[in-house]
Amino acid sequence: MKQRVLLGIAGLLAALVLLVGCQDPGAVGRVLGSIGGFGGSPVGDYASSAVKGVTAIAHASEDFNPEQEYYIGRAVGATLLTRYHPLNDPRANAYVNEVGQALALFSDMPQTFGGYHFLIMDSPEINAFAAPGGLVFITRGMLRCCSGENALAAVLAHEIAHVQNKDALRAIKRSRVTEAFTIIGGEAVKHAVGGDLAQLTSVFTDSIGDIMGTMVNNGYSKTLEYQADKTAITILTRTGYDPAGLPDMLTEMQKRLTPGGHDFAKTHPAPTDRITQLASLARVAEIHEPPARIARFKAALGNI
Amino acid sequence: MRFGKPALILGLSLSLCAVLALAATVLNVQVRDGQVRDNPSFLGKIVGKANYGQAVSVVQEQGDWVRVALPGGVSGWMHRTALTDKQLALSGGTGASAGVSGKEMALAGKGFSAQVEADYRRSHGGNFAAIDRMELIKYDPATLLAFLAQGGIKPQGGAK
Repeated sequence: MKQRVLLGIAGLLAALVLLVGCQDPGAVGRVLGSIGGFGGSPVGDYASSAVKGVTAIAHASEDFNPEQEYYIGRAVGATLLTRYHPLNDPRANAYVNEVGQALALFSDMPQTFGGYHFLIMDSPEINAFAAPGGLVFITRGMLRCCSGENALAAVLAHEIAHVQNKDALRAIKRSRVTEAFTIIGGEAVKHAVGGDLAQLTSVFTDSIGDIMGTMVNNGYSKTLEYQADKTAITILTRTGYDPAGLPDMLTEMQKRLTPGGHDFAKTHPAPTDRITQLASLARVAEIHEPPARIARFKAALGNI
Repeated sequence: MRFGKPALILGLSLSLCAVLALAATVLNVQVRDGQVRDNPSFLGKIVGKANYGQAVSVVQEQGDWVRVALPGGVSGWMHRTALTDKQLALSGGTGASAGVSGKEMALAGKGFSAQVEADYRRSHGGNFAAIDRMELIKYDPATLLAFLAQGGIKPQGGAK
């Protein structure tokens, strides 16, 4: 009789595990945890923490998920916009978004948590930034290096490449990622109050600092920049733009960059080096754009 | 011996669980507004929405597109990049279980969230209002493809 009861209980538990476990491995830990008190055995608690440990390690190696990336990107963008002012020109911004969002459709990551959005910054400096998740910022100075829509597409494709390749996230120190997942792994963050929220915000702040330091001050490695140029060529070609737009734009940028400047002169390899690296993929060539394209570029960015 | 059988049953159910998991591929939506379309193309009509974190069953795969079944009988195509096989809940003890909507999950405040952003904002400031405005500018794929066509740009691949 006693054995029957025990078997019954075991069967019930097994069914419970089966029901919940397949949907969510973490739930196995919860189910086991909830029966931890059964028979006075601590086995459930142990199993629960074991499952949690595995989850934490798996996430640390895969870094942040798209939602985390989205919030990091927003904060990077918001911080950047304390240094640069958004250009209040709806027409110009709409046009840059049309070109940029069309290009993003043809990237390897056409969809992100919050989507791709582009903004012109009111600065004569030659600069552009891609925050994680798809927020792209481009200065008026950079737009002036663009002879037409094709060249603009090249600049935007390079920034989309940084988003797709998750280059900004790479700038976050490994220790922060580990720290974040240690906190997130803790049960108390469920409602993130008091100390846990403060701790998490502190890691978040440091991560934004890491990205700003690399993106704005030091620049990515040359390898990542050349890779972004190559990815940009792929995106341009798939979309239907002439890949020559990139070397053409770089040629113009070379003429306009001030040596020692705090913009692309500081954070990117020299345009001539980038053109050399691109040689096998795209060369400087005259780009023929149809009248409708020339007209819309002029209408939107003619006075930039 | 008295504990042998329950352990065996538990073990068997866990293996069965693994087999079932292999039989039906379930992926999780990893974008905020997952669009489900009537054909495998960004031009397909939107027939359903799937929220971040929502689990969908894979019915068919074709190139970059996956046909998924949503609860309630709706099925349609989602772009592969909107889906992941990873568990999206970060906290070991607070993973979403079946029945929890993506919205609820997104609001659960795990990891870097709106709550962390608000806390960061209080201490560091930042022009978040401009970011909010920036996020409002979005064009649907059909409009973007029409924009390309108007400029004489003929796509060669990718978003199909």
